[in-house]
Amino acid sequence: MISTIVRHEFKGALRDGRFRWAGIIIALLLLAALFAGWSYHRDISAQRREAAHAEQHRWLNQPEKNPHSAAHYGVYAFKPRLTPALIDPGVEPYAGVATWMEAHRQNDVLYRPAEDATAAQRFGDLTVALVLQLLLPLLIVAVGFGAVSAERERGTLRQVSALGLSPTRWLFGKALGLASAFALLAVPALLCSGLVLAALQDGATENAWGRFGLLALVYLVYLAVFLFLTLGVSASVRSSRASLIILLGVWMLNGLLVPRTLSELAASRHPVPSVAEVKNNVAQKQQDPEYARRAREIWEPRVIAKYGLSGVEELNGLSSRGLQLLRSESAGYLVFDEAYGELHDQIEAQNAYQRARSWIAPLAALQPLSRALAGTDFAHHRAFIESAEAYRRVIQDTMNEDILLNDGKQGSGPYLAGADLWAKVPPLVIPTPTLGDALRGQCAPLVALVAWFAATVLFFVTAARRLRAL
Amino acid sequence: MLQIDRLVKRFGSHTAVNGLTISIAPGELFALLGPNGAGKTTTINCLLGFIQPDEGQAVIDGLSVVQQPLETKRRLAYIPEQVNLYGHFTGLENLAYFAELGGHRYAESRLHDFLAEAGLQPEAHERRVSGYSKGMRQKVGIAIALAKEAKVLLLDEPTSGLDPSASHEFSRLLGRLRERGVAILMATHDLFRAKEDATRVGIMRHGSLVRELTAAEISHTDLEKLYLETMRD
Amino acid sequence: MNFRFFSWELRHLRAEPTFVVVLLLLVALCSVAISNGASRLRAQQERQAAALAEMDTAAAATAELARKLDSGEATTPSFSDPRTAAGFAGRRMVAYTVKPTWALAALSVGQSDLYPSVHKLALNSRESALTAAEYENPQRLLIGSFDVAFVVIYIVPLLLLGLTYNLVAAERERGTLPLLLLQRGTVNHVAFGRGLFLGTLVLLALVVLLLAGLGLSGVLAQVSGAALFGWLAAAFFYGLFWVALAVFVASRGGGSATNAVVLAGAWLLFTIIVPSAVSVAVKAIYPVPSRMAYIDSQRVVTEESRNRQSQLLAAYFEDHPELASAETQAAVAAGTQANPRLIAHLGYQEQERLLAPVRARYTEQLERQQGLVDTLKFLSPALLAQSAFNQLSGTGMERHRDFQRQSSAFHDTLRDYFQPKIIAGEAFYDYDQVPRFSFDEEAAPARAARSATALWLVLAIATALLLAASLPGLRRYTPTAAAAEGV
Repeated sequence: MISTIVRHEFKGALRDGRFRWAGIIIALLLLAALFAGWSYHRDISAQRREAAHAEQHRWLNQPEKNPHSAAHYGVYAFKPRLTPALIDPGVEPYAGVATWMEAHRQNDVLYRPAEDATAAQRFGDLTVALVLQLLLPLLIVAVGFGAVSAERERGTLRQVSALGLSPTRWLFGKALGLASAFALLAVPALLCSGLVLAALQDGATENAWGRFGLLALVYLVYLAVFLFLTLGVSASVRSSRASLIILLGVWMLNGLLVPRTLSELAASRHPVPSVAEVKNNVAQKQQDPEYARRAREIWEPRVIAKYGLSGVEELNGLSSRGLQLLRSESAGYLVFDEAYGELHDQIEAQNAYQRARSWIAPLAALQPLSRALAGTDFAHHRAFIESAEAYRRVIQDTMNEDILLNDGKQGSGPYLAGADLWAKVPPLVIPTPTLGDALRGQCAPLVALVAWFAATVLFFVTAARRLRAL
Repeated sequence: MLQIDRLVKRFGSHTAVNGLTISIAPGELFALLGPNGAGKTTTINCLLGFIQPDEGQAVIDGLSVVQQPLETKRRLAYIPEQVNLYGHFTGLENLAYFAELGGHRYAESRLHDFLAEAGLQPEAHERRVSGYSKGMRQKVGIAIALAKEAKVLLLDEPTSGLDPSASHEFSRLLGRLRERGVAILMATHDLFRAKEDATRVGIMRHGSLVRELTAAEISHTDLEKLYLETMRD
Repeated sequence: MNFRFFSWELRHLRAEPTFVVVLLLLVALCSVAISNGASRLRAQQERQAAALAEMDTAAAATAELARKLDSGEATTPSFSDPRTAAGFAGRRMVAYTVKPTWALAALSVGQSDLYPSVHKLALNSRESALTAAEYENPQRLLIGSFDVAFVVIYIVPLLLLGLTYNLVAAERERGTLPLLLLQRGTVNHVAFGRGLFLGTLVLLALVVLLLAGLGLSGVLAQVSGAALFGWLAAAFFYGLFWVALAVFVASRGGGSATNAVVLAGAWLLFTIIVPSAVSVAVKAIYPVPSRMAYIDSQRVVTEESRNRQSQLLAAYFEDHPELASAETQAAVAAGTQANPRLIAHLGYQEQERLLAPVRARYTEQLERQQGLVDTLKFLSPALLAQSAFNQLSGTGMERHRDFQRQSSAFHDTLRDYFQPKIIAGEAFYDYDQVPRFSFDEEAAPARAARSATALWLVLAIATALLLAASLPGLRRYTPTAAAAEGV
């Protein structure tokens, strides 16, 4: 019996001109978004590979020079992009792509792609995420707002109710029927995305499939929330008009007002310091001898152990230039950890503030999850910043320790090192955060999304139970 | 087959049905007359379980309407004043849908038979219902009732808005259903049809049955005169 | 349409709760938006003032230090001695270029959260100065700001459509339309009169709210009248466009639910689908290569200019024989002696020369993108409105590019001022003679007002055309629901 209802609703949706046309348009938009995402991802990944390879080559082929010159020459780190990012590019347009890892300072990650784009970008790019987050729910609303209320208005609800069929089953049948009509859109979209992902598969994203699978799951849950909500509202109100207005209102709150309001509230609650403030903070801390003292407790034992020195005496007998560099560089590490740590914590606090309130709307729960799984949230950006900085420190320590041990041993003239030393620095590998890392801190939105699902199903079932033919 | 026993339904201070008692045997057609607001539709809505009666009870095929609303509804068919169908489905598809929801799955040829029996011309079976006239929709409604093989048929103003020949054809069909032993309750304003088709007639006023005529009485009564007199009292 | 008509409409409105709800929503949203915008404006203005103040205090502090150094009260290593041109320019100079934020940015944040309005210049690196950005949560940039432009572009249309989507259809569905028509002529009157009446009322309320909000937040005094007029006119006609669209859709004769779906679809199309598709299309047609590729070229160029040092040096002395003695030239030619400052300067110049075409590729591509957006923006009133708002608020790309050009030119001025002194190793005391930047944009406000006028005129014309196009449909309008459904 339920299959009858499912088939009936499915056929009805397909015969509905609204669904057909809107469905075709949305399918085309999805394809276009997927194609644009794919071609952008392919280009960007290729450019990144080339640039990173050239950087590595330049580093290894430096002429003989003082190691500290090499440290100043430095290396650029380029942010890798996970393949699922083509589905939801998240904060990528607004976060930098490269940082210069040189001596003495931790540089900012620069070149945000949005700076090289027009203001039209601020309306949001046409991405798979945009289609799934905003357009498909609106299609669900447009097709489903009258699912029950129109039957009431047409009078068919009376006749169906006279048949001796449980209203809950009838409504579930309807939900399944509409869901299978939407599956006509969603399943090919998922398949296409999967194919594109498979075509792009590269070493940078070992956990791409896990991420993609979970992405698909959270989006399906999100769309189901809208389906149950739409049918529930349609079954609860007297007229299709009321149903439509309520659902459009929910859609608008969900898609427009809630994200911006939360974002502004978070920004006023946890204001991000200005560049001038952070740089002044860094400059001030660099004057503070306390950092050098604390750093010494860290780097001295490390160097002594690493090179099998007898103790601080022997260490202090080595190259004074090397000691000087190690001292100031290591103190810098602590300063940067603190100053940039505060900055990044503040940004993360804004995002955590929003995640903690993600129960407010389904989209507020979905968006952080989607970005986290696509590897395009601030946490992933921060992971890049931190692993680049860690690599910078590897370069600095390698160069400075070499100076410490070898400076002054070559007789007169400045100390020069060569390819052997450059090769001691391992190639830069930016690790991909694991799924567990990606989902750390995403507990609230995950619970919120599941809660929304449960709540809308409950609402739907209650509405079905309360459904009256009159 | 259908027993209504001291049924009471109040809406606030207004009593819509006031102690109504009717019993209809298989093969009987009980025509319920009465002015607008007399409580005819409320009675039918109670039988359909759309509203809960405040007192009394109704029993269909031995089952209480209040206690087992879904079970009783499986045993009855219902044709409203205006049969409402799904516009972008054909007459046949509408029939198949309603029949299957009612628990009966038929081969397509059987469905065509039902529609033909209800008087819908064959070329209309596979056309979308959005192009149907009111009479054609009514015929699909009858086919749905036929396909349900119900023991009780509830009719709410089934002939209003039908032209005389369609209305006549409808009467013929009701006769056939009676022959099969269906108990029919028909609320109507159509005194002529009531006189023609009914085996019993009841006149309702302010929620109660104020007059009841047997088959024998109907044939030699001027129903219109009786009706007007009843209203005047 | 006489006075009686309006007074009846007002009575209708009093009875209709939606209108009051819409007005209350508008008040709430505008207050939030204006307070957000005003606080952003203040933050930017403070940042700019701080930069200007820092230049003055730094100059004073340097003069004081120089005095102490002269009198022997203080010492400093030679490389940071402010009494030499190299020491001052390399270590002590504080030079900012500032793009003053226009007060109307309180209404439209535009791109001002993305583009910095202050550049801190360093003599030896144009690149790092002009690419540095203000710190901001990237997620906030992604989601966008809750400013008045957001309310006007996205929310006001929805409120207006909510009020006007069932202008005539509701009367028809209630069955009151035939009665109404008997009393008062034609469907035109009902649709036009009621639609424009409601729309104008809401939009005038919006204008009053914005003026009041600007006044209360203290921004109004700083705003230029022409720009404010243009902004409000753009907002007004943008809103009226949506009312006209509702009238047009009503004239097609659909039921109110159908109209609502069609209008919601139109809203989605114009404010989300078309702009986002335009953004993606523009990027696909004129792709700006990744900056990773740019960095790559930059590194190559640095290398190249370093390898050509001696060659550059020789060429330099050919051009500037007055700067080189015969011995120096000989020493340079022999590679035994060179002024390191001169070498650095030449390396820098060479890098700039080689990088210029690479940079130009990026700006040219971006300008092509902007050109295409300027054409395609006529596909969506939301894009038109955004463009008008950003131009009038001075938060658009064009003004920023102008700022960057001028900052870059100012960097050249600074170098031209200091380099000869540095190379020659001159003493330096003219701390208050150092060139100062001022953003030259005398013509910009007028230009912005002109092009914004063109944009709101386009919106007004589109509105008029939509209204005209709905006349035939309204004339044929079937006044009863049954007749409309063809039963």
